[in-house]
Parts: sequence; C-alpha cells; structure tokens
Amino acid sequence: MSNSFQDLSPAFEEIRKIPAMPLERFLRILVIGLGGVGTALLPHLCRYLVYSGTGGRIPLLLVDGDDFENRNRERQDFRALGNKANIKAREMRQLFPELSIRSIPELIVPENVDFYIEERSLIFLAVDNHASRRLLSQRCRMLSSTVLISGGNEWSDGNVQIYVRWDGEDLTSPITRFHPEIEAATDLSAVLSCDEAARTGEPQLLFTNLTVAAHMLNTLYAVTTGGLAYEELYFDIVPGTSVAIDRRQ
Amino acid sequence: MAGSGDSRQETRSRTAEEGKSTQPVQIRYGIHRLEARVAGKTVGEIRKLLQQPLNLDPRVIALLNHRQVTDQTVLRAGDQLEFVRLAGVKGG
Repeated sequence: MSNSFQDLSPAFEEIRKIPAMPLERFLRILVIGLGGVGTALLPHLCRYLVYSGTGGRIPLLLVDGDDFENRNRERQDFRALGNKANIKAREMRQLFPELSIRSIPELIVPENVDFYIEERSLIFLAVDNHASRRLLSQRCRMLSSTVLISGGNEWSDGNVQIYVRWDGEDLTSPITRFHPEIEAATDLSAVLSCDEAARTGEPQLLFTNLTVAAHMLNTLYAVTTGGLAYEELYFDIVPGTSVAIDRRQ
Repeated sequence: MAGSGDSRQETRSRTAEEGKSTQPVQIRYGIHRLEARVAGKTVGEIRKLLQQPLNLDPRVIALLNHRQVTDQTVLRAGDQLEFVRLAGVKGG
C-alpha cells in the first residue's frame, strides 16, 4: 500500500504568495484600452474602488485614442459616439461621483509613455496588440514600483498576466519574459485595431472578453489582499477551465 | 545490530529512489495538463507528439522545471515541462 501523504505531496507544495499591495500604495490607476475587455471591467472596478473604502481617493485615468462607432455595439457598451476615453469617463463620473476620473484620449506610444506611466501606477492593460504590451512592459521595468495586469484573448480562450515590481525588485516575471511573441512585437504603426481586425475576419466573442475582464479583476483582488500566487492565468470558456501558473524560481 | 539498522535505511532509500524513477513527467500547455512516462525522450520529441492533439504553436518556448530549455534537452522522471502558450492578442 502506498504512503498516502507521499502521493498527495504535490498538493502540499509551499504556496508562495506575493506580499499584499494594498490600493493605498498606488498614486494612480490606469485602464489602458477601452474596447471589449476594458469596458467590461471598468464599471466593476469603479464600484470596487468606491466601496473598498480607500480606492475612491486614487485618481483613475482612462486611456484610449480610438472612437466608439455603432458597429462596436456587439461587444461594447457606450451611450454616445466619439472618443472612447472621453465617453467612458463621462459615464463613470455620473455613476460614481465619488471617484476622480480623468480621460486621456490618446494611444500610448513611445513618445508619451514616460509622461503617462509614472511611479506607483496600477495599470490594467486591455489593448488589442502585442506592440503596446511590449511598450508598457518596458516602461514598467524601468520604474521602481508598479503593478501591470495585462489581459488578452482569442475566440474562446485567453490569458491574464501580472507583473509586480516593487522597490526595484521584480516579484513576478515581466510579461515579455516567457512570451517572445510579445518581446518581438515592435511596430506600433502596423497594429490593426480590434475594430479593424473584426472587419477583416477576426471577430471576438463577448463572453471571452467578459472572462478576461473578470480574471483581471480577480487578479487585482489577489494582489491587493496578499493572496496572489501566480503570474499568469489561462482560460478557455468552452471547457470552462482556468489554470493559474507560477513560474517563479 | 547497527548493521541491520543501516540495512533498513538502505532499503527505504532504495524504495524511494525506485519510486522516483517511475514518476511520470508532468506536461502543461495553457489550460492542458497531463502526466506521461516519457523520461528519456527529448523536449523536441514531446513537442512533435503534442503538436497536433494540443494544437501546439511551433513558436512556443519550453520550460523544464521553470527554466527555459532547448528541444535537445532530455527529460527525467518527475520533471515538469511547460510549453508556454502564446498570449492572447485581442481584447480591444
């Protein structure tokens, strides 16, 4: 008969949690990209910030250079046409007057990334291309303290990555570390926006966007409360599976 | 008597070693996890085996026990092999 404790030993492996990064530590929160994922997470993030007791005092910056158009309606909830950051900022201010919300109606590019991404930023990266992910990753690696939560998806599956860097130390891997496809994406000018991609036959599923958004918010909760023990999470909504991965040495 | 004590200890450690040598390799790719007795095979051989059933993208890197390795690396019993699934591009 086998030793049952030996058989179960993988379940008892030490779970190495990252120290809590409470919201009070951050000087600003940014949501970069207000498409299917960004707009899905935004109202819930705002509600959490208001009712978490401390988040309401932290400025929230909404960043997107694209315009909302009627054809975005299948996955995105906007009440007016125009720049996505401006419209969402207006909507969220009405719903959550307790929050300090600012819009930045620009794409983040090498020329402005240092200006907008500063120390002690908590960043939700919900963009539609790896070149932007690479740019933000590079910038965060240059700062002393920052947290970057990046989500992306294909049709029914996707992933969320978290990069925690605090007091000059990487507590998780940069999002490019194990992803050469992000590291190699350098050309922001060649980027097709998701709206353009949808028109050229690369549609997205609303439910997958919602799942990325939910996992990004779950990751926020884990990192701010001290429960985070992974640096990447994969999911697929069809089999209904999510798997968290910890690659720290 | 001391001799018999040593012999018991030896037996225990040999049993542990034997158990270890028959451990499967744990393989991960995105949401997929499987265990297989593939010690002795190379990472590249496993990559080929899984390419079709898991739709493994040829660009993905391989991590063996959390360290990046080449396709020539030989697997040992109890190893953890991960092919790092490409990150999702869309979401906007």
